[in-house]
Amino acid sequence: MSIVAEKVSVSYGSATILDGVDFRAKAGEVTAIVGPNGSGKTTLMRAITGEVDYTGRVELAGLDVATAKGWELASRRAVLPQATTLAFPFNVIEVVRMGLLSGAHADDDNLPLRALAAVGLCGYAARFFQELSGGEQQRVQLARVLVQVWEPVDDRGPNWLLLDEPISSLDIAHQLEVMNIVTRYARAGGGVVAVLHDLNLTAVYADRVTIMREGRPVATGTPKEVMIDQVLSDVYGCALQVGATPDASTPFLLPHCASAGHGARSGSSP
Amino acid sequence: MSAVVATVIDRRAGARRMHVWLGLILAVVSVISLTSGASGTSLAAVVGKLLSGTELSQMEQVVLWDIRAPRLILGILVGMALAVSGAVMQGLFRNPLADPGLVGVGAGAGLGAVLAIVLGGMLPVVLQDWVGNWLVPLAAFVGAWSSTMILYRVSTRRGRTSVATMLLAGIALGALAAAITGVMIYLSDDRQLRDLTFWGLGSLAGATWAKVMVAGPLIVLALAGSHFLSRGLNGLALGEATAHHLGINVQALKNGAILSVAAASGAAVAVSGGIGFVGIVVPHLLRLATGPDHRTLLPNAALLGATLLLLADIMARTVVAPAELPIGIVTAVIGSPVFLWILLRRRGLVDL
Repeated sequence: MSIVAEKVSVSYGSATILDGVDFRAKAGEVTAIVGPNGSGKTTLMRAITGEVDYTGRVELAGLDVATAKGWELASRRAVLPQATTLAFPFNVIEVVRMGLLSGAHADDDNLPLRALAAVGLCGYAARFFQELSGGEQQRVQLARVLVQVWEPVDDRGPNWLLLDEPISSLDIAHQLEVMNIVTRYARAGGGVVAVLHDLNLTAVYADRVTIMREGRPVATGTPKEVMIDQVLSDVYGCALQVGATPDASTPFLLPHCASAGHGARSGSSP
Repeated sequence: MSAVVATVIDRRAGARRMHVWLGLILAVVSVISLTSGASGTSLAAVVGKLLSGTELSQMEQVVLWDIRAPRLILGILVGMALAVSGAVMQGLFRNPLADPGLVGVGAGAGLGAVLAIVLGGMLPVVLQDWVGNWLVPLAAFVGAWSSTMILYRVSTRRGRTSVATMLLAGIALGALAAAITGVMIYLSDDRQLRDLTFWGLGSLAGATWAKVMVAGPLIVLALAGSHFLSRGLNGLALGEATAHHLGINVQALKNGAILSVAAASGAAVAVSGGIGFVGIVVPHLLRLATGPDHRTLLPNAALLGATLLLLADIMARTVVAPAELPIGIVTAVIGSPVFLWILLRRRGLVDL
């Protein structure tokens, strides 16, 4: 069970955003989509979620995304958007409960609280969503997404988390915390596809990386295979050196060396 | 621990208790509405007579059964329709300031009704016989429906509704409807002019059982239908894309919401003229009290909307008795400060 996209093209008016993209993601792995701004990462994600019209074929957990019913897709994959604006003063727990709308656990009142604990927002249930910081809002949305496909694998096979820049608005501790949550989801057999901007975190957490450029994937493989000087320099249009350290006078820090979970208000795992 | 948290933060239980309270209040206000009026007939005297087996006087029968009872029922129906269509429209536009009366839907419904009153006579006789009393509410429904569609198309782009565009488009639609209505008034004969004037006052004064039978089914149908929208409207609060991800059929939801808004507000406008602000004030108060979950918000809005409209009607009947104020004046006096208050508190909304 996997995500298979074949010859996917998307155009807005006369602009071609995606041009015949082939993309694969396997359950049990974290698959990262990286690339410069405007390279079509988010649009590829939107084709996989069925949000944009595309030509070509996208299959998710055996469902054809273009023709499957919304509730069928919703029971197999949950989607975390880049940012969410909420129209009415819902509180945090009410937002998380929306993940239950079409899920298999519709009546499990405990699940939203467990999901909030998992993203480190235990005491936030009664707070108003709109009063939270951007990072907190993003983690509330992650909790909602986790609630929607709580079991990484159920009797129909693996479920999927599709994350569009899940960690861009978070501080480093919460970046690590969120990446640990989704990695555990993948280790438990679920599928994770994430659009990421941070190449270090991609190197640490992704099992497979697809690098996009101008609407096409230019490299696919493990981080070690694709994150090489020439590819990255070429894609991002500036001279990049993988693994080079700056001179001793500038401090630098890498997520690789952070001890995961330490310092973050972590809760029970999903 | 989680059980404690769950009870502390759960607004659903409060919202459900609110069903009971609002239902009781509506019942009390209904009784008051039946007993108050220009004639001296009192409900207590009538109930006493009924209990003791005495015949009611002709006068009492007419006042209670033919004047006050249909007015009460119509008031409840219209109040429910206005408040629920306000709440549904706000959910659809993802904006607490959307109200059928303000953004041109009421004007569109009014235009439909006016066209029906003035031009109805030109329809083929067969058609006239077939639609009968339904012509005006049906025309109002079509008017409301088309203006809601236009408004939604104009102000929503890629799933985001621009508030400024919505309000301005509403003004433009309202002005256009008013202009065409003006032409119709110019064309109308004396009898039609009389109908138009009475209708346009925005009042429950002309309530009859016939009107109840005409508007009732449309409103009840729309209210029942809106019940099925509530989960979808909750999801839509997170945005169209997320609603889709949650498994909601967004297009069907939007069509359903537009239809139910058009049916409810069209029928309400057809029988009572333009009554504004109920659709804004009621859902807003309820969101403050028990939260924005549409599953409980919509029934509560129906109950509170009916109560508020009956209260406004009682005021309209008693303030200048034995004459009466158009009820639209009363609701506007109460409602427009609330509208401004929402606007000031949430100015950021309009700057989107």
